[in-house]
Amino acid sequence: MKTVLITGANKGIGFETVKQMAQLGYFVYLGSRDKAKGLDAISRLKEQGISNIECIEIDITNIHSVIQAKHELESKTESLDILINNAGIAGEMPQNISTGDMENLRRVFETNFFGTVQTTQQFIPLLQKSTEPVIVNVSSELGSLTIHNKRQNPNYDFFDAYSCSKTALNAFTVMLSNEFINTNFKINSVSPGYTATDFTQYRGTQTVEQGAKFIVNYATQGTDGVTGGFFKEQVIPW
Amino acid sequence: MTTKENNKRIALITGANQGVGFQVAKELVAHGLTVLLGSRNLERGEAAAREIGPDAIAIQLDVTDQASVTAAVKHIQNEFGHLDVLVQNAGISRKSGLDLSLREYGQRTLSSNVSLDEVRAVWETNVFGVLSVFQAMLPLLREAASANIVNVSSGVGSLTMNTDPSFPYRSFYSPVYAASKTALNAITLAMMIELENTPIKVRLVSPAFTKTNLNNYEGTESLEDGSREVVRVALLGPEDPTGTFTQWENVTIPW
Repeated sequence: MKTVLITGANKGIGFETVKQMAQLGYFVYLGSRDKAKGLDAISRLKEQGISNIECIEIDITNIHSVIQAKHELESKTESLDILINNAGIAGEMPQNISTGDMENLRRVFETNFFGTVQTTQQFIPLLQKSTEPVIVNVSSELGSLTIHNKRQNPNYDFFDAYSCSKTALNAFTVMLSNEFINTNFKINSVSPGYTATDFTQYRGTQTVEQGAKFIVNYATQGTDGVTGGFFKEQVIPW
Repeated sequence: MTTKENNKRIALITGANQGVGFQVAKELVAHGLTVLLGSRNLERGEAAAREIGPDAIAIQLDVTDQASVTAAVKHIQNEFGHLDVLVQNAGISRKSGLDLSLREYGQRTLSSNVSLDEVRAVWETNVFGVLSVFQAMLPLLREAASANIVNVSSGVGSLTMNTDPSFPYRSFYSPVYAASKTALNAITLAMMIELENTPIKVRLVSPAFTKTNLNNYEGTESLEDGSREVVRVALLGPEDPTGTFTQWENVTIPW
């Protein structure tokens, strides 16, 4: 059974992604910063008859927690096939660039960028033991500079800290995929779209099932899949 | 003497005691501006200013030090009351391994193995430092009849170019420098959008691969050639195109 680790998975899109991946027959490690919330999420899924799941405590902003999670995973599985870096924060509002609080912006970058980088670095050795390793970085169209520059997203001028952190995350996707370009790794940024979860205060226009589906699509692509890209249904411009 | 009575335009260039920053300072002075040369080390800044002439004035400025940034704002406020041009040029490419060639350093700082301390150290200057100087200087820029912010980025921050298989050395670009420039592009675009209906214009430029300390003098262009686009854009007016990311000469770099 192929294995998957999904961070920030006790609720929202992460939680739904766990469910869809488990239903497709993967063994899913549900990453949660808070163990109790993670276990609660597991029991909710078990009530729905999903059993190929387990909770892993992981706070991606804390390197000790990330290393602890890696050791725990190493004791449970020989290899990790798929890493879905879903954990992320939106940050406090307002966060416009000219007057937004720098500490708030730093916190957003700490989770969405630095946290994802250090988590990925720790799990790469376990991913390298897979024959078809996949990394999905859960990004956002708000991180697309092209879309921003055309003022195409109605939220372009609200979420500056968040948007910039997702652009930075996309840079990590590109640079990491370049490093592994001659291997079997498939590494992409995927936007779930503007989804109705507590993250968006349920303002999102897509269902959580639709949002998670985009992530699942790129998590489950085979060796002939794409790498180094940014996608939702289709390619999103940088 | 207040802003509007003073017909000399005031420019601040961060990281201006050497390299591209110094060259840009020299050329802006030649174009008639009064140029403040931001330098972490005031003595080095003063030496650089002396070399340029009386219209070049050193100012202590460490973009990673909030107290230094605040003091610089106060100083400019008292001396000039406004700022017309802000060239955010200060940048570093690494904190450790200063003796290594670009290639050697690149191999030690791959996405998979780079130390986060190294990444953070560079981002403090290249990303958070730029944002902090921007926020602090904005009131002074608003005092000018029109103002021009130029953030010095790099083509290596272009994700479009980084995903082009023909882009040289792309496998060596890492979260340290290249991604810091992508992040800088993102925060600059946010600045451009937020200020688009004001007289403050924000533009991004990439100098050429210039022979400077930043790349252990492995760059291929002279200071004059390498700095040309920064100078051109720093001299643009409020009616010129904004929201641009260009290299010499006015060639658009894709995001």
